[in-house]
Amino acid sequence: MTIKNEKNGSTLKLIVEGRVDTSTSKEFEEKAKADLGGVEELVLDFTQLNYISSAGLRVLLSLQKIMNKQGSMKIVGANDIVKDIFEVTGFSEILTVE
Amino acid sequence: MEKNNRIISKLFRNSVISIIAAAIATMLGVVIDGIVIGRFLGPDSMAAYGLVTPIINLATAFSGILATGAQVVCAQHLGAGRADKARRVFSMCMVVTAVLAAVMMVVVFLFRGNIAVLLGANGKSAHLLPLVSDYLLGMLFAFPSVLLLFEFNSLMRLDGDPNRVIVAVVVMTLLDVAGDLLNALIIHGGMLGMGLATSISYFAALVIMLLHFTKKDIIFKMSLKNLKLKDLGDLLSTGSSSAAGSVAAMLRNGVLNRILVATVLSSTAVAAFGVLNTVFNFTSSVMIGVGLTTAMISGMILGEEDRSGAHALVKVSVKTALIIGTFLAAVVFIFADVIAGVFGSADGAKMVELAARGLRFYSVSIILYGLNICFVNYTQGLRRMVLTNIFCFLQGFVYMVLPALALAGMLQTDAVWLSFIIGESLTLITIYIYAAVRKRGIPYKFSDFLFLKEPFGVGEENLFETSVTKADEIIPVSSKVYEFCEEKGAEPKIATLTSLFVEELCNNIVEFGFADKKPHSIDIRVMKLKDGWKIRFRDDCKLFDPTEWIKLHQSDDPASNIGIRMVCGMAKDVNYLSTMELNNLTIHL
Repeated sequence: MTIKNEKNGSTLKLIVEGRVDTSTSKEFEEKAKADLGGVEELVLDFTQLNYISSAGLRVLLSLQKIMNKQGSMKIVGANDIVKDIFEVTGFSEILTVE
Repeated sequence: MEKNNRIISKLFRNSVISIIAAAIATMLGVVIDGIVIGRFLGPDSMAAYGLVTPIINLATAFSGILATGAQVVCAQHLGAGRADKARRVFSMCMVVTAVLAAVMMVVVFLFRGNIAVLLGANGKSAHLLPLVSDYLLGMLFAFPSVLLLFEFNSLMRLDGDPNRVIVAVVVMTLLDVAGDLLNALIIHGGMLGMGLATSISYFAALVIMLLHFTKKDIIFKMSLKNLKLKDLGDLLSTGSSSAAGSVAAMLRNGVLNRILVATVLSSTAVAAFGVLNTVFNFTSSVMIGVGLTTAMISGMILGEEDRSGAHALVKVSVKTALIIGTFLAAVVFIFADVIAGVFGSADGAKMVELAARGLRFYSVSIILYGLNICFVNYTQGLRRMVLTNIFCFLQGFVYMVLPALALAGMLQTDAVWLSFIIGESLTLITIYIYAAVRKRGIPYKFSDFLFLKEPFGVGEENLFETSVTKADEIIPVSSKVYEFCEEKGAEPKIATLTSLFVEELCNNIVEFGFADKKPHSIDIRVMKLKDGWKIRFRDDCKLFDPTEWIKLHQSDDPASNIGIRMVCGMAKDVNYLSTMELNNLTIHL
């Protein structure tokens, strides 16, 4: 898994590539939270993400709770498989997925 | 294909002790009776006891057919995930057993005098008639227990209650010894008392076993609905090898007795052979226990079409037979004089000396017997009934009787003792030749002795198997599963979901099932089928049904049970079954 970040004012875009699973979710969480100070809009670009497990979903939930207090969060570019996972687990009700 | 079968080996080791205990139990009561009768009630009572033995053999033969049939057929259904069919077969077995027990009790009660005459209490032995009749009357109350105990032995194991049999056996043995001694030394109830003491002890064991059915989450529940005659046919045909073995044994003993009667030592030799047969009954019960364990697990393997499971089973079965067989052979050989002496000296020192000699010859055959029984039971578990019955009859009759007849003129009683060694050797050679014919070469690996009917299961090229024993193995396995699916042309969605399900379910099992700090294993099989994909998880942790769990724990908390929700929500079908204290989860995509 690799994460690239692009900051533009108060908007932070994180481009996540590869797999977010039990072994990589901690790294995902640390890198995502490291740059959240002062961010009002968090965009997670999942165009190159091909796998996310429950460990990854818990990180998304945690990020959503933080961003609910300081702004907004949305997910873009998720493929059909990842969208199905959001749907089945009910995360499509919690997250903003475009 | 990576190794996948720690659970099969562990299951075998855990099962074999209780199954051996129960196999011994079905004949232990009668053996204890024999020792007490021989010691305290005199030679006429001992002779009467000997005359009744064929009736006990008949009850255990019937029980063997039903028990073996039920065990193999139910294990096969459970291995294939068909719990409802396993329950139906169980119910049919119980109905047949109840009818059989009732018929046997009524017939023996009404016609015990005639039966006693038929068994040999006539002519010069007419004075034995009241003793035989009394013993039959006391024993007839044991018939339901004798029939059911053998059946419950393996069914309890399939239903996750393996230790109950051991408790029942211990209680039965203690009560039987106490009851027999009380009868012989204080009550003086004669042969009727001996029979009743045995019946009471068997009944106590049965009560302990029946308490299993008061438990909530069991597979085998009795129901008279939807019973099918086809199930009875399956039971009887699958158990037929047990009948073949019993018939072979009865014929063998008859012929060998005739050979011994014709020798110079005649009745002494027959008495010595009686001692050897009793020891044979005990040691063969132990090896039959190994065989029954093999049959039970091979039935499950057949249901699941698990080739590598079959390989693991043959390997552990052979090793166990060799270890136990060597131990028993050493004990019988070294303590032959002591063992022979236990049965009293009704015919004096000559009988004991002859019996000890016979035991030493016999001890050499025990290891070979163990190996042969394992293969015979293994093929029976695979429902290869013709093959099994042929092996049974050759082993139990042809290969022993023919050498004994051929050598009797030259070696007298030694011909009979040698027939055990020759018979088991010839049987093992026959099995080896069969493997060679199938392979069209020299068989030398365990996989050459699987005897599977092809096509069997998914071909190796469409199968991925592995085991997880630690948390840090999960992600590498999940990645390998993805690569396997991709390599076999699966759509990206299928490859992703298969990999995901492996990660989610293994994480759950490790987090909750491995928490007791004992060594555990998760065996995983991923199979590419003609009409989709299948994943099977099998673990040896505490029983847990995720499909029931998710129904009971529907929650608004988005962070709870995410993994199980993913699996149940995205798979085509999720099926859970618990058998032999294992969790089995099968997922279709």
